[in-house]
Amino acid sequence: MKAKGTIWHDQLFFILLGVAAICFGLTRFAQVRFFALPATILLAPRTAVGSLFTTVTALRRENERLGELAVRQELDNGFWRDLAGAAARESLSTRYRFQKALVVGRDPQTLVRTLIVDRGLLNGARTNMAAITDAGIAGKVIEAGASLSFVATILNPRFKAAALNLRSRVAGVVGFREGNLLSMDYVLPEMDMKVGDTIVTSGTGGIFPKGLKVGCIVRVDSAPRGMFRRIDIRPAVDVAAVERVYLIEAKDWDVAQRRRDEVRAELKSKAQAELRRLLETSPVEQTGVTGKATE
Amino acid sequence: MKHFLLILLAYLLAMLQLGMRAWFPDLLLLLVVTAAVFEERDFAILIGFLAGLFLDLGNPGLLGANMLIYLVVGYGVVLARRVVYEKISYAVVLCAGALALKYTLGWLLTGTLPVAWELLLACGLTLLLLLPVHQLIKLLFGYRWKVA
Repeated sequence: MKAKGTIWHDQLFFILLGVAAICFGLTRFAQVRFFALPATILLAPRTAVGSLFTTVTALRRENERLGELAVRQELDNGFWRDLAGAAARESLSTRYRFQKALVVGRDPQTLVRTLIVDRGLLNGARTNMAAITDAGIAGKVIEAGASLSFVATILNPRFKAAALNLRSRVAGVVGFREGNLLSMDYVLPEMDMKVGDTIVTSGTGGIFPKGLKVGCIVRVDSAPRGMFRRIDIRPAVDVAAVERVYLIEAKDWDVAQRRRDEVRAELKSKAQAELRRLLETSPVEQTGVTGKATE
Repeated sequence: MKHFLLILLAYLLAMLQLGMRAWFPDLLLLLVVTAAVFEERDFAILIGFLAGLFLDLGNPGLLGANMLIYLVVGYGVVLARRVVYEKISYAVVLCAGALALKYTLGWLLTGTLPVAWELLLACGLTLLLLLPVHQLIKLLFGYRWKVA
């Protein structure tokens, strides 16, 4: 004979079994009618969590899209507006490729000579890419590692860039002077340069596109002691405060680089040929000179 | 309180299991088996029923099938636990029996079974997870083995 508790357990089992069997036997319509509300309530947390994941994913995608849009807007609003002319704007937008790089390190001594950015060969960064900000040029990549690159800033003694005066179109080469100043070299005394003139890149160096802002002239030596004038420029970019740069490269970078290499090789071979010719002809000339002297 | 937490756990596992592929290990079954081994008989029956109910409410069109399956599994384990109560290794046998019961009942009630490899994988994974889940639930709820 079964104990009282056991009978109760059996009864509970059979009651629940009956309930389950009735539920199973209900038509689809009746199931929906009776269980739609409990199902909705019970599944609400799951639905909420699911929609939360969907929302987070959608928000992340939206955030990425807006980030890209912000970069583009930033370039449009600040950087493009200050360019020298429509031609340069068109040239930059059509011929150059941009990628944003965050500054993740600086040289430990001065903090402004070299920057380390978070883009390397794996991300498409290469040596000699220009580094710019929305204010103007910031430097150029001097060494690209796997995932980091070193950027020589405009305040680095190794940095040189071909530039010109936006007003008078006088060309020269911009380099580091001292402290927080740049110099513009190879400008003859008679050239038209005034304090306050804007200096932009000339686009002839092959690294920087034409028309990017370099800085403003703060001093022009009116009485040059040497062959050229001394011109001091205050950079447009505050290198000490730069947190991110845009690395840019020409879309036909490979073609341009190959062409440069070909020209360089051609010039080298021409120079060698010229040197050979000079070496071959020089003994004759020397003999002539000697002959004259003896006469 | 313990019973409430067990029901909540069953609910969470049912929500987790909803929408999973057929090869996914049946964690709810592990909970029902473990609860049926350690808990009182009426609660063991009840949690089997509720586990099935939670699954059924998320599976429109098959209302009642899971309720029947898990209820029978819970009750079956309650009946069998007198024999396999003493050693944890017996729980593996118990779980294997519960799995066999579940799929047999599922086939009888709905006329469908998962594909062979999914079925084998689900059973294998469930059996693999039995001991960790068993120990975890024991730790969480302070169950101890005792002689029936």
